[in-house]
Amino acid sequence: MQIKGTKAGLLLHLYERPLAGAVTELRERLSSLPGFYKGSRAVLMLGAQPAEPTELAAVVATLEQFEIVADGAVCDSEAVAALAKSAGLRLVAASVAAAPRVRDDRTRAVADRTPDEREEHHIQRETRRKRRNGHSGADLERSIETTLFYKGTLRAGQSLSAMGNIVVLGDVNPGAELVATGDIIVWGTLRGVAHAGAEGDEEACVFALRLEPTQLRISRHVAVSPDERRRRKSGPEAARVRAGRIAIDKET
Amino acid sequence: MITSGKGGVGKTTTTANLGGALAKLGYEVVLIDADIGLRNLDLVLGLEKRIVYDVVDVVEGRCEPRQALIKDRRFEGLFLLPASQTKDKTAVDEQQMQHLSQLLAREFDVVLIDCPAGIEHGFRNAIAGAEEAVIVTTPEVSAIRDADRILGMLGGRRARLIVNRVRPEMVRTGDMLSVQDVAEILNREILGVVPDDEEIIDTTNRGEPVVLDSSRRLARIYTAIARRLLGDNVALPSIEDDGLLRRLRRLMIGT
Amino acid sequence: MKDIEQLRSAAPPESARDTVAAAFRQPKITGRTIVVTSGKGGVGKTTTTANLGTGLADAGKNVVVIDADVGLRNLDVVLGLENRVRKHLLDVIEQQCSLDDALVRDRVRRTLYLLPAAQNREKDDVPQAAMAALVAELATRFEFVLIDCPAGIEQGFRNAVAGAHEAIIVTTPEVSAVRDADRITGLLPPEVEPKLIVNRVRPSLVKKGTMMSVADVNAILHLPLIGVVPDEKEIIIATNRGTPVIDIPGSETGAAFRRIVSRLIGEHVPIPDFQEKTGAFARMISSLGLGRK
Repeated sequence: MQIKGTKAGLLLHLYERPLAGAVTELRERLSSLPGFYKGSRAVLMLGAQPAEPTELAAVVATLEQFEIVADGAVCDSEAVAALAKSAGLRLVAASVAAAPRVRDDRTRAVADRTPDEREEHHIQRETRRKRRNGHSGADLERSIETTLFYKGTLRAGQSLSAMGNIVVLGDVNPGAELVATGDIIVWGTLRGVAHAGAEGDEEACVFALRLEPTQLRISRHVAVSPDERRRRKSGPEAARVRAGRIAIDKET
Repeated sequence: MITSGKGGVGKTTTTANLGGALAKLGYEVVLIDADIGLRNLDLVLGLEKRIVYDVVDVVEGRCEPRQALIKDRRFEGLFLLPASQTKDKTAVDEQQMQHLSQLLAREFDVVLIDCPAGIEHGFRNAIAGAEEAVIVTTPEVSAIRDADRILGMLGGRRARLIVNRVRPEMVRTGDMLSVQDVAEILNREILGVVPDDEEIIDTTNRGEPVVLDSSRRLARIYTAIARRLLGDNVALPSIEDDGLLRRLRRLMIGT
Repeated sequence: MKDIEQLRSAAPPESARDTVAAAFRQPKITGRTIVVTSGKGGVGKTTTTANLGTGLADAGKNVVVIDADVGLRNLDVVLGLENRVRKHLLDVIEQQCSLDDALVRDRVRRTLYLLPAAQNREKDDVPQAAMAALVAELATRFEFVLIDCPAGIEQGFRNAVAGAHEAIIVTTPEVSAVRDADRITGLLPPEVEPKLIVNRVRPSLVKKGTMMSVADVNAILHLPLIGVVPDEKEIIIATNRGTPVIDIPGSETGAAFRRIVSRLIGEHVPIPDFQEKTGAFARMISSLGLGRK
């Protein structure tokens, strides 16, 4: 069982079965540094193999004993997803599990209110629609705050993930990765991999001054750039989902 | 396992082309990129865009091996298991590599592991999954020295040599070691000899392994090496320039 | 005989400089610490380190080049000094010998020294802090400390970078090399200033469109360019013989390295636009594949 610390909190790798073994190990490790993780949140990586509900409950309880909040679970099968939901865990996509949170209480409030995934997406969509239609200042402020801002060139091997939007002032080189639950904006050339709407928001978009990504993903759709070696010099473009596929529009 | 010690001698290009040649011969081949963090095999094969999962995802249980494998549409029977770009080599350990390699060996005829340069963690991981080694070297002192060092770390595994980037005209003038010299120094069997060729740079940049075009001289050479790899003792094709060119040259320069 | 040799080969004493500095209450003058790295192997790091070191010594500087490729050393071969290697980096770090015992002085350039790598150990053996301390100490004795980095992004790389304040990233105009150079740039600690050398450029291929141009390379890397080095077959010959290519008369590659040395010292030397020799005959020769490769 691995515990990884990230900017967002803890990632617990709980792939082995039976899960009970992990509970003991977890307790031992947390006891050796009792106050260290107090107040953190943890995301449980549960993998694909099902486990006993009581074992999972024990994991969550152990974490609570050390004042760690079990915030979500990454599940790779339906069975495990059901298990996690019944334990009161939010389902999180693997790629955003380590995402730095910007407005914790807002996302937390949503999680408490609506354990159901579909409702969450609805709320995200609503917020986005409000923003687009230029609604009240409060909404605008909230949406601006959930944006991760990066200045400079993002190099091969580097990756950014955010619960919210990402704005890069610079290039994103091939081999770099951007993952956002919201929109992605690159004020430069996007040559790496960008995944917007990572938790299922079909209205997310990817915008770049020059859009030349290795791979583009919006929600669950994937698009691969065409094989031509030299693209004609094109200006700013945005990628959105239309009629079930990713489409690219020129922006002015 | 395709290794070398010294970087830049052509391991990845060799892996890609050997894999392609083997697939063309009808085998089911999987190529594993063990250079986690500095992956390049996907670039050379032109498959970078199609990567969704990689070795680290498989090893950490985020996906099944099948999901991570990328089928090369140009070669029947060639698959790639890409490395991760964002992690580093400590993300995978020797046991995991060995387990993965054995798993794949059950499904495929040949498993080629592209090894990272150097002798650190990444190299040790790659070895763990391999039964035998192909050492790629160039006829250059530093490369041979590093290859020699690697030979000492193979723990009794079978090792054969591919001498890459040979320039016959320089061997003739004595400015470069001959293939015989290399074989003697390293005291190993020669699996193959590949001449230096400008075209390789272009094909690597474009992601089109040279074996795609079976009319090319290099394609024939890699095919012969592929057959020898599997025990078919065909002769190595000559790496000398085309005869016509030689005659032309003699005409022009008068040698 | 050996003792006199050792005395002669000892690095210049630091005490005089220290006293003066203390007298004026100024910080101790330390040399520049530059790591030569690339990510991808085989792009010419070691050749670059050797030639830059040689060139700097020719310009009158005190230079030490460190081979940080523990287990796979090559810098000594390229400099033609492998027969003079007695002690090495690890011996010094583990305090099995003094720094002066391990430093190998170049035969020709008396201000050029080499600190060889150990051949029979592995990179995990060197603790990073010790490496940083060693580099810092060398910087008090030498005006330039060049560290030849091993390929890759593992501990060997991290050790080589420890203690360096500048980095020279070497790449070739080739997709995988550029990708790896980008990765390595992203892994450099923020206080290390990177500069770029594009090596093995073949202008004829760039013109044909089969090789990336320097502009293409830096459109991705976004680094300050400190040099462009053309490819020549002379390099292989030189390396095999243990002569830095800078010493081969008429070598364009050698000339390029000299220009980089000048830029390192602070002179403004423009980067030439490499063009293939024009003229009908030369063009015909090259189209037949007979020209200089």
